Amino acid sequence: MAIETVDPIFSGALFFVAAIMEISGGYLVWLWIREKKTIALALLGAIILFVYGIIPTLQPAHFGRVYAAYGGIFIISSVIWGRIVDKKSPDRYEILGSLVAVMGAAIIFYAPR
Amino acid sequence: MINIHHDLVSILSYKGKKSKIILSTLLFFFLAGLCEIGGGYLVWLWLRDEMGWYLGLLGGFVLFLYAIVPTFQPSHFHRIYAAYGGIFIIMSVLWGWIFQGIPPDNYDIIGTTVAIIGVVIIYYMPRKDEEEKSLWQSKQ
Repeated sequence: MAIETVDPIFSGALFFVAAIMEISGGYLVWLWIREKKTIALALLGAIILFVYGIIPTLQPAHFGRVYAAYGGIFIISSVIWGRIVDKKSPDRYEILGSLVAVMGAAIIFYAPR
Repeated sequence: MINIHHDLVSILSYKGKKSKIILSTLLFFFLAGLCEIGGGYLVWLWLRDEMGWYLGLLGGFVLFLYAIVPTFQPSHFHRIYAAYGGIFIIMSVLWGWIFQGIPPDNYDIIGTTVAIIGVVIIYYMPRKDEEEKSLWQSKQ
């Protein structure tokens, strides 16, 4: 049985693009409901979120594994989010913890099978 | 609609007992995870498993609902979202197992465990300069 590996650059780029789309699509919906901005923003957000749902289907693995690995990306985004929105530099445990989480995601996704 | 939403937000942002906040946060995470993973799964069924396009459309709508869920939640300290990431990983593995019948292999289990350790480091590592309450009190 051949050992299969995954191209880290292509798949990593897909994870990154998915995270950007999830955050921006969600933010546009947030603007509509919480900041009472025009519904046009929410519609744009819905389209972006739909595309966000399409991106993982391009990943070369099965559903559960793709989404589990994406969870690791989510963890590091939350720390970056804290830096930008809460204006708080990540402390050493946040940096260490998010690196550990990404390592876990990498094991899930890139371990040669 | 907007008024009902506003009332719900005020009820849920209720500065009550810590346990109450934890419980409502966990409930929101579960709901958000269900919509995000479920919506993504419907899109997946359409494109990867070649089922009807209407499933993809429905998935897009569920993903939109996913974006609405956090608007009900008081804006929490960002570390709580790291915890959501941990819950999301476990839910994804379980989803693949239940709905696609693919059990996690050893690397999936090891990787999930490592990622959860990362979340625990972010979330529970005691910080000298912060009061414990700051982890739980919503920012108004």
